Parts: sequence; structure tokens; C-alpha cells
Amino acid sequence: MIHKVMDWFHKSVRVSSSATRTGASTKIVEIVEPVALLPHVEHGTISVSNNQVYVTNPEGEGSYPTLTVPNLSCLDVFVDGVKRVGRVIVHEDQDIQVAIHDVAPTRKFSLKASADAMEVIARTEVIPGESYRLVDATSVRHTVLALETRMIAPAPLEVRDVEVQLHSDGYHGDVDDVRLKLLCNARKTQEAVILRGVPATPGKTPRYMPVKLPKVYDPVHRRMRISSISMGSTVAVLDRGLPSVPGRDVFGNEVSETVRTRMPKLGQGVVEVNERLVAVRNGRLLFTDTLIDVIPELVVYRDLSSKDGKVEFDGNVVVWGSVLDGSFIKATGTVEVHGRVLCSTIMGERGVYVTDSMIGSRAISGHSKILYTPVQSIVKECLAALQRFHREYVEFVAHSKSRFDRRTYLPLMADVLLKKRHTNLENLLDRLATDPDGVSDVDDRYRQIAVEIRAKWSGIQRTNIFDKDIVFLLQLVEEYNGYVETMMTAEPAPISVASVTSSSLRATGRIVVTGIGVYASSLQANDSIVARGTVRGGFLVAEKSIRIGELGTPAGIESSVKVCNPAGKIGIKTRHPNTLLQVGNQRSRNQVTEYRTLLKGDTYANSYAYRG
Amino acid sequence: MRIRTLIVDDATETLEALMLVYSTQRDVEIVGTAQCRADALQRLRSGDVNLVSIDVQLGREDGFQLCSEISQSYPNVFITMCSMDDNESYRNLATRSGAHHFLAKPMSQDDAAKLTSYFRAWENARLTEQRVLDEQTEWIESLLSEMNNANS
Repeated sequence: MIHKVMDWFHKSVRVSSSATRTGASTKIVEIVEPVALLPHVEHGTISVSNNQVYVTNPEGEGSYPTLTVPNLSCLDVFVDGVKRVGRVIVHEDQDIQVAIHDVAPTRKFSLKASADAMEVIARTEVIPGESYRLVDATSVRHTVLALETRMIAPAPLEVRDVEVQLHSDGYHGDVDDVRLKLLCNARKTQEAVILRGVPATPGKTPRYMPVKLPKVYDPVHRRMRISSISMGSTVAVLDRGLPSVPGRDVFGNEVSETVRTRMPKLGQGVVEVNERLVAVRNGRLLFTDTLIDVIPELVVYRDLSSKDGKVEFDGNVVVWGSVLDGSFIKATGTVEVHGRVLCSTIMGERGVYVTDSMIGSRAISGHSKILYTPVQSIVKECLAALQRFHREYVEFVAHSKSRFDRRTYLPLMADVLLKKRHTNLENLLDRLATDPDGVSDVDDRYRQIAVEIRAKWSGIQRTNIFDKDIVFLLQLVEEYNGYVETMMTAEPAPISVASVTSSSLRATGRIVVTGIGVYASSLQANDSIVARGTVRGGFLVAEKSIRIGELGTPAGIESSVKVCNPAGKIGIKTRHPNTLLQVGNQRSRNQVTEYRTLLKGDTYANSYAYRG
Repeated sequence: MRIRTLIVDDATETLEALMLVYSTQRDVEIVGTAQCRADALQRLRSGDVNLVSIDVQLGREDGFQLCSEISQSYPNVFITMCSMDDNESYRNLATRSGAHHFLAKPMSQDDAAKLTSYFRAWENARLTEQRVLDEQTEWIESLLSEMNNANS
């Protein structure tokens, strides 16, 4: 449009007149030659092409072109040898040089072995480079230099170079060629496992296979189980298994398979003969992952009463009748009562099972673990303290060898050391001697230690202690510590009973009440408590969880239930008013009846109950 | 020395359960139970009680009030308050009423074991204090008798 207007103004015109038919004259304007209304102007231009700047000067009264140079680190523009930034007037006679600084790509390659030394992980860190180019411009009066950026990937690595590096770093194994090639050609930072060792081929672990023995129905556990074993019977056969084949790690070292399972311990009731386990006594077979034994069984085919005296048996006790008032049963195995338990005490190391009710009685399962729990930490601490004491005593004795009065003061050294430098040991020995937990009443080993401490390590006797006395006590405590740790690792022992009334139950495993329920009793379990019926009054305390059918009464009998573990839970089908639930530190006491209550600990958010 | 214990709770079932829990401790002897204030005070008059376990709510009666009465009348008796509610205000109120210990229900055998430890420590401290007091009294009395002899 502008060009048309300019053309119009540049054209020359001739004005002439002509007559028309009517006789009027008409002026005719004809374009003859351009009419120059404005003077001729040609402005200077600037072009950018192939990273060069080209300038043309203006003609006539035209204006010079201008160039705007941005302030970039990768771009330098020199006009007649002087670096220029910003808007600059340029002309043809100037020497305009453009310097562009590209950024070169980098690649770092590293190798490292995995924690188990079975893999080599290669890492390539790629930082791509940048290549710049001036944006072209064609014959413009004003231009701003702009840069186009192009990313440049680094050159790929040679697979052979990587393999050489693997060998020089001392790695051996199978190279993953595919991953290695991908890594060498990676255009961004990547990691990959490129070399693997040879894992060990697992074998078959040796184990004891039980032999087929005749079974009878067990009404307590409601399943078939192996009947009594007679002495000399084969109870299991050893399967030797297959040896494993060792592998090699990435450093070339041999790697053997880690043994996951251990052979079960053999009890006193069995012995290994020609790769067979043979019973050395009559009793009941106990075959678990941790213990194989034949446990003697005392079977009583009538009611047991106080007239039978205290029943303490090293094995299982089975009573085909009731346990009447005043009875006492203590077994190192299980106690099974196929009847009621009335006003009696029952202690079964491996469990207590009562098919009917317990009234006014006391049942403890896993009593050794309960007995030794308060003592275990003290014995362990005492052992460590005694070992430190002995070491120091020996050092003192060695130092005193050069002294002439050694014989006089040597017996006093232990006493002085105890008073001045081992007061903690002094307190621990005192604690063991006083025995507030009453362990010495039931444990001969503990009693021996307590007697030794009272005889030699208290009062005036302490001024006459020699190295042999310290070693003797140390040996006693060390053996006892081992014994206590064995007792503490015994399997949890459960209690199962149909109903509980005014009784106290304590179990290291679960407590299961299968029948009507629990009334005015104290139940404490290291695992969980399940009462399918009703719980009215009393206290239920478990470590992990409690499940109850009905808790409390509509009249509002006080009933309390607690789970010690903050991650535990309590589930109740019907929860009557005035009952208390506690999980960890979270307590809930209700005033109305609730249904399907589930109280979870602080770590959960989804406790709920339905109100009636 | 066995800890002669009196249990005070209005709920029969809870009373039975508390008896069962306390009797698991070999040095605790249950010498009586009471379900109201009158029975508890009557039992205490026999003078052979070392430890009293009192429920905070005794039906219509106030367990804290009973605790105050016992702590004033029988300062040598160790008092533990038991409650279904375990909150700071009850604990403070129990302390102000003269209780030496506070147990939240439900009680476990471990709680009973800890209670006996607290009792032993309290008893030892009390006996030591009593012994010191007796020695001081004896010394003052001997000084007075010497002064009297000197004057006469």
C-alpha cells in the first residue's frame, strides 16, 4: 500500500482539456512522467548471516543502521577491535567481528562394587554441551543479536576401554554387554549393573524327617496327634541334604551360601544312632523346628486332690478328671486337665490346657520365663561387671609383685577395689544375695550363687578374697547367665480353658477362653487374649491384642482391658457401659453400649465403634 | 516382712480381681477387704495393716476423702489409689489427699511388683527417719536427766 502511494507521488501528470458532445470542456489528467514530491532516501541496512554481520551505508539523507549487542558470556562483538555491548551505530567501513564461545560436553565414568560384592555398578555422568548460532536477519535497519542454542551430546565411550578399566580395577565376572553398550552411548546421566559375580548354588540343608507313627485323637487340641512313644522307637531319620556350590564375587573371592536354617536341638529323650533319632525313654514325641524330644508323660486317670500332694513332674502331666481343691501341679512340659480345676495351682512350662472351667485357681504357663525375666538383666550386668573387676584385679596384682609388703595387702585388694572403683558391682552382688524376687526358692543354681556371695563377698569375709575366689564366682555367674538365656528363649507357652471364674491366669504365649467367658478374674498374656464369650469384671492385660465377644454387663460392671503395645488393638463385638479399654497410652471409657468396637493404638487412625 | 494389705473397692468383681493380682506377689498378704468407708476404717483399727489400696469412687462415697482420713489417722500406712480414669487431676488430688502411689486400672502383675518395690523404699525411708528421730529423742532425754541430776 505504501509502495502504491509512493508510486503515485512519483508519477508525472499532464493536464489537458477536451470538448464533449455537449460542448462542455473537461479537464483530463494524464500521467506522463513521475512527479518528484519527496527527495530520494535510502537508509543503511544490516544483515546477519552465517554468524557474520554485514552493513550497508545509507544514501542521501538515509539513516545509519543500529546493532544491539546483548550482554552474554558466550557472545563477544568487536567493532574495530573494541568490544561493544548495547545499541551501537554501525557502518560499512567498520570491522565487525563476532566471537561465539560454545560449551563443550563432558562425560565422567566411574565404577563401584555393590555392598555384597556381587555386582559392579557403572555410572556415567553426562553434562551436554551447547552450540550457539546467531539468528539470521536480512537487510534491516535495527537488529538485536539473538542466539540459537543447540545441545551437543558427548562422544560415546568405547566398550573396549570400559572392559580394560574393569580388568585394571580387579573386577571379575560376567559382563552384561547390552547394558554396557547402552551406558556407553547414554546421552544423559545413567547407572547400570554391568558386571555380576557368580552366586552360590544353594544346596539342600540337612534336616530330620519324622517317621510315620500311629496317631490318636486329642480332644484338647481337637486334632490327631502321635500316640505315646516307647523306648527304642525311631522317631526321625536324618536327611543329609545336598552340599551347596560356592560362587565367586566380583573380586574373584569365593562366596559360600549363607545357611538359613539351623538343625533343631535334641532333647534328653532322644539320641542319634546311625543317622536316626531314637527315643531313650517312654513318653510323648515333641517335634518342632527348634526342639526334638520325647517328653515323659504322667497320666492320671482320676480326679486329683490335695491328698495326692504336690505333683512336680519333668515332662507332661495329663489328668483324665478334675483337679480339686488344694492341688498343685508343676510340669516342665504341658499340663492337660480333662475336667475342671477348682482352687488349685497349675504350672506348665510348655502350656496349660483345661477342657472345662477354672474356678478360684491359678494357672501359669512358661513360668521359667516369667521367673527369670526380672533376674536376666541383673545377671548379665553382674557378669560384665565381674569380668571388668577381674581384669583390673589381675592388673593390680601384677603391679604389686615388686612390693615387699605384698602378702599383707593382697587379700585386701579385692575389697578396696570393690569399694573404690566397682560400687556398681558391689550393689549388683548385694541385689543377687538378697534375692527379692524369690528365685532361690525354686532355682538351685541361683541359690548356690546367693550362698557364695553371702559367704565370701559380704562383710568381713571380703577382706580375704583371692584370684581363685573371683574366678569361681565368675564361672558360676557365667554358667547361670547361659542357663537363663536358654530359658528366656523358650517358645511362648499358651493357656487354653473353657471358662474362668475368680482365677488368675498368666501366660508367656496366648490365652484362649473357648467357652462361656471370664468372670472377676485377672488374665495376663505376653501375646494375645481371645475370649469368645463374655468378660465380666476383672482385668485383662495382653501385649499384642485382645478379642472379646462381650465385655461388661448392661448394669455397668467395671471391666478393664489393656494392650500394652502401642501398635496393638482391641476388638469387641458388644461393649457394655462402664468398661475401660487401653491400647498403649490411649484410653477409652464408655457410658453407652457399643457394637463392633475396634480400638487401635496411636499409630493407627481408624478406631471405630457403632453405638446402639 | 510381709506387706499386710487391705483392699477397698465398692465393686465385688474388681475387688476379687485386685485380690488375685496382689496375691501373685509373694511378700504381699491380703488381710482384708472393704467395700465402704466404714468397713475400711473398722479394719484399720486392728492396727496390723501396712498397705491400703483405695478405689477413687466408692459408690456414693469419696475415695479421696477416705484417703485423707487414713493418712491423718494412720501415717504409717502406705496408701495407693486405684482408678479407672488416669488423668493428671486425679493424680494431683490423690497426692494432696495423702496418697503415696497412684495406680490406673487395669492392673497387671508387673504393676503389683512395682508397687511392692515402692512400698519397700518408702518403708525403709520411714524407718530410717523414725530411727533418727528416736535417737534424737533419746539424746535429748538423757541430756535433760543429766541437767536434772546436776540441779538436784
